[in-house]
Amino acid sequence: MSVVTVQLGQCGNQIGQELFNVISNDSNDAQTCSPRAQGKAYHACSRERFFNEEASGDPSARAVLIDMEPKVITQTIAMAAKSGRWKYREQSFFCQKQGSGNNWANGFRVHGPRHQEAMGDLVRREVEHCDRLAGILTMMSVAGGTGSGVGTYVTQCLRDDYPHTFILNQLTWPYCTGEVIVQNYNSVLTLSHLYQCSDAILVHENDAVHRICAQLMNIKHISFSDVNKVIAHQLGSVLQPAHTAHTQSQYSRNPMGELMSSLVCHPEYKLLSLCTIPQMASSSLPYSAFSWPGLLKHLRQMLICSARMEEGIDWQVRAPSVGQGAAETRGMQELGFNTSLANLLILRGKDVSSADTGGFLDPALYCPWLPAEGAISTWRSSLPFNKYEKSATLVSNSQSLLKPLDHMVGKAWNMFASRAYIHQYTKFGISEEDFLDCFTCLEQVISSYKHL
Amino acid sequence: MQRGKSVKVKEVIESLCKLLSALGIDSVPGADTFRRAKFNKEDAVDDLWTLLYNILSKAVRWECSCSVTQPHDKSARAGLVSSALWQCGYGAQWLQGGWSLVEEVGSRGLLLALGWVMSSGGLLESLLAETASGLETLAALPGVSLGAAGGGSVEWPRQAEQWERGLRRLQWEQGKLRFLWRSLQAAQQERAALLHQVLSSSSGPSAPDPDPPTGSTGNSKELEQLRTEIRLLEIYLDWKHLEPLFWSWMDSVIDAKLADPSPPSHTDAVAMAPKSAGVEGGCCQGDTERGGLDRLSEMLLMLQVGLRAVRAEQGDHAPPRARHRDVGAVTSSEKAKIQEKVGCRLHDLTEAYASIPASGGYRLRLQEHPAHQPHRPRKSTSCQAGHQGEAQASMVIQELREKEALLLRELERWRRGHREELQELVSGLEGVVLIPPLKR
Amino acid sequence: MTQSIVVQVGQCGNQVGCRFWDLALREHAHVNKKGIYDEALSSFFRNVDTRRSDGEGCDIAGGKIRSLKARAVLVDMEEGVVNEILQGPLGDVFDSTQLITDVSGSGNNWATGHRVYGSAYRERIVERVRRAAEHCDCLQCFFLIHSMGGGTGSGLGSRVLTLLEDEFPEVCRMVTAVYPSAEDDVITSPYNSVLAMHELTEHADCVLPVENQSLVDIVNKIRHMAHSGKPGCVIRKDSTLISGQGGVTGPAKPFDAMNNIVANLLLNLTSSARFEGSLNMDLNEITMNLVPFPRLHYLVSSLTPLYTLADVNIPTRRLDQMFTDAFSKEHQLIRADPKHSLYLACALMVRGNVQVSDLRRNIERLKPSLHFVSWNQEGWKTGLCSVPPVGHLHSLLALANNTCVKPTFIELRERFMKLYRKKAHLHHYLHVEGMEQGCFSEALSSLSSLIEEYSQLDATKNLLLPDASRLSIAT
Repeated sequence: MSVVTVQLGQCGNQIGQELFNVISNDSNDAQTCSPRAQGKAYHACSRERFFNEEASGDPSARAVLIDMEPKVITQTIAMAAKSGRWKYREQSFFCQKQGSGNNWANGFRVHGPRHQEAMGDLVRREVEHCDRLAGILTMMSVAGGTGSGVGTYVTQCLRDDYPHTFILNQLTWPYCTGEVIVQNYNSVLTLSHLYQCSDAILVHENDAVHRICAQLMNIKHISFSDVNKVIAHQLGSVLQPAHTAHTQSQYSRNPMGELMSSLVCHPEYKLLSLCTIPQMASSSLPYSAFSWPGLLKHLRQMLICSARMEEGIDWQVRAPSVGQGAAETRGMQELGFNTSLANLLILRGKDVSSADTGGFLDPALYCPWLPAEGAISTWRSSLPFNKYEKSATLVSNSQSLLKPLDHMVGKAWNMFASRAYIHQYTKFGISEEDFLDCFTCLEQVISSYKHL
Repeated sequence: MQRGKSVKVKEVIESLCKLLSALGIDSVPGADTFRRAKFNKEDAVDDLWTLLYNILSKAVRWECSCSVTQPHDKSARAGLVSSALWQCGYGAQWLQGGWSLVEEVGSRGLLLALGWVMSSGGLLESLLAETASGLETLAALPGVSLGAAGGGSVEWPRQAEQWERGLRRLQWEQGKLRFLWRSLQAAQQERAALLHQVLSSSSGPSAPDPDPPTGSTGNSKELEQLRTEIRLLEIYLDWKHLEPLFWSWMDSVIDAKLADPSPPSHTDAVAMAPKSAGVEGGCCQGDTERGGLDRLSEMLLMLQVGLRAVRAEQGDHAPPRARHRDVGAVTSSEKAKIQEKVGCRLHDLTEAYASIPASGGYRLRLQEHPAHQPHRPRKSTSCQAGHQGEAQASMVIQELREKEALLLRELERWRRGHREELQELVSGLEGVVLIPPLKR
Repeated sequence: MTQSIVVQVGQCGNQVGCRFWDLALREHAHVNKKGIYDEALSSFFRNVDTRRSDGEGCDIAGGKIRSLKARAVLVDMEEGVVNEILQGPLGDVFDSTQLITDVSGSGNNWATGHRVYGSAYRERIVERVRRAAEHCDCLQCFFLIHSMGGGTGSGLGSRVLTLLEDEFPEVCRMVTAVYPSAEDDVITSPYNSVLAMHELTEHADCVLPVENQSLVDIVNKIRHMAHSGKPGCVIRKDSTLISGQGGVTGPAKPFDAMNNIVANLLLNLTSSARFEGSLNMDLNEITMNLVPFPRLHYLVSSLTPLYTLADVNIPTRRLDQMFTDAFSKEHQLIRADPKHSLYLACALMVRGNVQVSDLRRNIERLKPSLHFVSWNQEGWKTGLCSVPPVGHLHSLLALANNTCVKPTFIELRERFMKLYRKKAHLHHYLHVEGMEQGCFSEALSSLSSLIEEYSQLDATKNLLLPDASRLSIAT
């Protein structure tokens, strides 16, 4: 049971490399854990999930690297080789000479179709190496041209080639200001297309992760590498082996399927956000102790007020009492309450079986049409994750992405209203009507989440 | 029927009891209770009330507070059972005659009611399906209950909201099933691949160890579940073999009832004119059925006569009223046209729904040997046509497909009509764009 | 990796180009100590085995540097400047197949350059450019350098632009145009500039206007700082923006200081495409992000720091100062004040040891003092290149699509009108075959409509425009 990762564009490749680093280190750490057998099983499961055992030398990641320019891929492969613990397989990458120039249309309409076959072959080769394909994870940013444009095209092709495989898109949303000026256009085009073909869309916002780096990790000069490390840590905590409700005695053999059937069954609601607790500078880890009740209390409030980190949570925000009408719920939402559709709680570390997750069973947290017991799932693993003695991650299908999404669509719509930059897209065959379709699709998504 | 009836009866009823217990029905009485009920013995009454209550509470979702009622509160229990029977169309006289009759009903009446419940709507099969696949989640769907829909006491917006939520829940569950299906398919593929590996690597014909070394506990649990399921299915199969005998025995119960001189009882049987009796073909004698049918057609005739009378009356009053209300009233030719159109649509609809019985739809049967159903009075010798409501699977499928196509066409027509209407409405509004629903 | 070709036209274009090649060599020599021909080098240089006797040698992929040849085409209608380059120390990076020269010059007449030489040399120019393009693995961009005032630069330069568009429609065309000062000694320079601008507006993907006067001011400022000689304020010789030290050429010539600034502009512009970084910014991303409407593609640039003090361990304050300076009037390469005009979009291209958090902090800090157009309130594009320029720890190139270019254009139009009303010198132009007065009026109306477009945007500067009303979903 294995996951094939497709890394696209600069952002996707950089985060992918960090993710494999985290996974490799964590499963190596697990080997030294006690009880020995448990650590071994964890290590074996993680290895099978993410790496090919190579006859000679280090294991190779089950990954395909795609970019339209060579610099980042060269760098990524070199960094992996330097780790000395794992590597990328030779010839598992595809790159061209010239990037997509931040233009989604260029990636989607030109680069994607032109190289469809070569990229598809790479993925197929990786899939054939799996005894069983648990799913495909694609990683990309929505801001640029290659990650978003080619990424969207590749996802569509994967959906066609593997109609029954679980496809999870990990998207990095850009900073609100200052990465790419047309980022809102690119995001709107990407999201609306992915909504039609992906099973679930897992979102990291650079702004939120940047704040985590600044306030929790205490990093003075935050680099992209720091941001990517946090994202990789959060992703790893979801993707590493765990016991699910269906597999009490062994690690889940179907992590992607279980993730999706607990979170994104409804086709109108596919946006997932992540928060992890605790997160701190590795230097202060040995001096910190956490209790499950404390962690879960904080995590629950983070969910309620839609915060991405425990620092500065608003404890004033409360869930509405059960049985209140829609009007009251709306009122609470305006005060900052975040209604969930479904949540997945992943607990890792010491005494995990003692952790009481009752607080997440409160029906008040959820939308009225899905009973709480069907809306919350819990995975557990008694091994510490990535050196954290205890840690909890919440994957949430809730209103928490509504605000940034609304902001993004609003900005793009404003720009579209004055027709700015549209000529850059029409040049590659994306018309104003195409834009309008995408806007309507996302407005529909926004409306669905608003009325949760 | 011919051979060893008396010997078999006990066996037959025991098999039914076994099946009922296996389906999760609590406190199923012994076979003897049934025998005693046939002779309308007092001491069987209590047991049968309990059994009926337990079966119906499994099959029918009580509305809200009812479920809290203690099962040993006899009168409440009897009330629930009788209203449930009434709602699913059982028309015995003791149900129509008010509370006193309900209290007085004998064990035979209850046994007949049980027979009716079992014969209508594929009760055992649906219970079996539920138990076997363990899909309780689906049964717990919040739907609009019959009472709420018919009662009219709930105001519209609330109901719409309920609908909306139910719909979303349904979509969610559907999505979940889709994901489950995909997971299963992947597991299947893996299993096939592994099996292939094992077979190709092991040179001898010796079968590989069915239990892989890892996760034996999980497997044993799975195994246990499988065994339970198989046991359940075996019990059901046993019952199916014996079922014809059961129904012939039920015939004898009715015979006994008819022979009984007590005054209300002979109409009691006739009152069994359940909606599905004809189509289900589940229960029993031609007499009863024919009686019910006669009664139905009689009622239909009366209704038609009444309707004609009312229409004639309305016809007399119509012209002045029409003039009164609206100057541009419909002319007679227009009216004729409308009537024709309505007639056409009605005809279409009747055709579309004609062979779908009001409750239950088709009931698939295991292919039975003709010899096993001698008690069926309407059995055709060729067995080609089968009983009403009973058909070859391929025929059913084909018919269903045709019906589906027809309904889809109908749906598409409506949808297009609505869309056009909507578009027309929307085009009148400034700044509104019509958004087609999200593709799945 | 992609490659770019520099086409330098006219006296000014060739002088600037010459400085560019010198500094580019210096930069690569600084980064690439091993003498290996790497991807970064390949973007502007070919590695050629000159022992082969077929004149232009053949390309060697990778390996040791043999002989570097610039990916350039040199065009001038007189021989002086080009010959000087060929005989100088940079002569080795060019060979005869890259040159197109004439002897008689264009006489400061746009029509001569554009029409006469444009038609006469059309085939040869296309042939030379094509040959340069054939040496490229993946040609991404043409950098065209010429002046706006002279005859050859503006006339033939803008003609080359249309040739490139015809022959290589896929390849991006970036024009570095040097605008004349008001006191320019060429009397017909307003005519030449307006006529050339018409071509630039229609055919370039983006234009980086540079004003002579601004360059003079910056040079003077740096010289002043260097000579003020405050104790502890020693300016490192190789670090000033105007310094060519470390290059292969000998003693500096009069205009070298000014031309070095433009050369540095091009180096910094292309750095992110050549070297690695944590946030790459490819050349095609520049127009994608900075040009919201096709005709409004004039980008105002500023370079900081202008110099580095000799012994300072750069504190954060100095880094932040670099960002502040980039928006000040004194650092712009045309005389304009972006801070008091309206930004349509802005790109910050940072080199050296600068992290994304530094970038974010400074954007947040500067944002309140800048006006952005209502639909692009967050119109920032950023690039982080980890290789700093020679002699610096870090540097910043800011590119702004800003309505502050308008005064320059208006002033140009006024100077044009002064001549045109009196029909002064018009006959020199109308002599040339195919040149009609209509060309003048067309160019003028093109310029006017450009100014008008900027004005309309400018008018929204202090208005608080409401957000466009969104599509609403009926529920």
